[in-house]
Order: sequence, then structure tokens, then C-alpha cells
Amino acid sequence: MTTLLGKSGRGKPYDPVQAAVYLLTGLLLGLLVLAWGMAYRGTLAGGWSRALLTQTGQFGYLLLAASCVLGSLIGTRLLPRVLSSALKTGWHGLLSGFALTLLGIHGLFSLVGPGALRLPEALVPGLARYDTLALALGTLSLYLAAAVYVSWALRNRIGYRAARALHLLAYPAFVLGTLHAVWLGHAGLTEVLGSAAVGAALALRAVVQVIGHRPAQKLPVQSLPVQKP
Amino acid sequence: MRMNAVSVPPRLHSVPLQPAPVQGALLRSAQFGRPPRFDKARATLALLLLSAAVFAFSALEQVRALPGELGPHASVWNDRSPEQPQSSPERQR
Repeated sequence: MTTLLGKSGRGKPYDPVQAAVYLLTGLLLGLLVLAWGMAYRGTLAGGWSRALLTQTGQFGYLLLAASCVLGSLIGTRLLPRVLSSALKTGWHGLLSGFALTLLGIHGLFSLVGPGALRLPEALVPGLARYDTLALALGTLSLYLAAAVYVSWALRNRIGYRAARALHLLAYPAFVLGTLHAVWLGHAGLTEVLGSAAVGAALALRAVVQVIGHRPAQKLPVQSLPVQKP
Repeated sequence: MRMNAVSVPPRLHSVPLQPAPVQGALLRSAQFGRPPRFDKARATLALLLLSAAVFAFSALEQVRALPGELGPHASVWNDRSPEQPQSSPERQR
């Protein structure tokens, strides 16, 4: 493990990028935990907790949209050739992880601040006192996205085919997340751009699939003229 | 007319060819003919910086848009129901 002090326990050299990742992760998570704790105790202005709730939801939604777009175009020749397979799958996984983390934080911020949900209301779809269906859609969307991520992480245990089939749940998760946002009155540029991008990527993928599976046309066999010696 | 021969200092002949300075993983991989690998640490750092920028921008917007809400939440001095007006009977007394 690389440490900030220099050499790691296994003898790896000091990596400033990795150290910056640890530092920035700690800083951001620390600020979010501080804000959550203040909102829980009631010492954070209602506007701030509402803004954090909205921001984490919208940013997580955008990252989920980017991950869905990239995921649906992996395996086609529509992406630039300079993007190797490792780059495409690496960014896809990283975007998904970030999106899932942000959506989880979004769920945590729904438990504090004005109009806060109780824990069972946030965890069990359909228990919320207000906006019941919209909040249920959000909870289901988060569960589906988590199922996709966890199933892919366990693909060696559950089998590649099963994990790949479960991966398709990302699209219902995205649709449910969109409906959740629109129903709660957040139908803005984020949702329009995300939906348009994912819709266009899925349409392109469908076209590529159809063209790729079209049976080859039989060409008429032309008999060559026999040349007489 | 006799052309002047270009004189090359003899020490230049002994300098081995150095590879061109490479910049970035894409160029390096293109030069050495291998596909670019995914640098997880740098990608994570990029996304973390983007997240920090988004939240900082949101915080600035919040400070500008809600100058009156920087104080404690209304539920600090009433019965934790923010929908009620702050002029509760206790405060009026």
C-alpha cells in the first residue's frame, strides 16, 4: 500500500497521484460527513442540505448516464480507435462506481434536512408519507444500479453470462432514476441531456446489432468464360 | 566552382540517438506499439477533481442565491417542523 510517507509496505515507490487521490477523497468525504452531521443535528441551513441532496442526485445521474452511454457503445466500432479496450472498460467501471457512490450519498442526504425521510421510508419503496411513488422509483433505481455493480464484481462466482444478463438492469435503473427526478419536479437540462445521450447511444447500438446480424446476401454466381487454348 | 563541404563535428557522430520526449500515455503507447493502458489513479483523480469543482460551484451558487439561509435551520428553535412559520408563540413571548 502506498503511503504518504514515502515507501509503501511492499516496497512500491511513492506515487504523488495516488497520494492526491487519498487526500482529495478524504477531504470530500469529510466535508460531506460534516454537512450530513450538521444537517442531522439541525445546525445546517435547510437550503444547504437541499442543495446537497439535489447536487449529489444530479451529478450521480449524469455520471450514470455517461456510464450507460459508454457501456452501450463498448463492443461497437463507433468509439474512437485510440480508446483501447482497457480504457473503455476502465472508464466505464470507474464512472459506474462514482455514480453509485454519489447516488448512495444522495440517499443518505434524503434522511436529513427539511422534509427528511425516516430510514424505513428511504429503504422500503412505497412507505414514504409524501411523493410516495416518485421516492419509491428512486429507491428501486438505486437498488438496481447496486445490483448491476455487485453482480459484475462477483462475476467469477455467479458466472459471466449471468453477470452480463444482470448488467442490462442498468437501463431500467436509469429510466427509473429519470422518472424519479422528473416526478419530483427536477426536469431540467441534466435529465434532458442524460436521457437524450442514453437514448441515442442505445439506438446506435440497436442499429449496429441489426446490421451485424443481417444475413449476407447471396451474390449471383457468374460462370467464368472458359478460355480455349 | 567548388562547393564547401559541410563539416560535421566528430563528436556528433558518437552521440547515440535519443528517443523523442514522450508526452502522455497515448503518445507513448503509440510509439511503442502497444494499446494504451488504463491508469486508474489518474482517472480517479480526474473524477475527484471534477466532483470537487461541481460541489464548489454549487456551494458558490448557494451562497449567492440564499444569503438569508446561512444561519441555523429553522428546526433548531422550533419543534423540528420546518414548514411552520418561525414566529411561534414561544418566540413571540
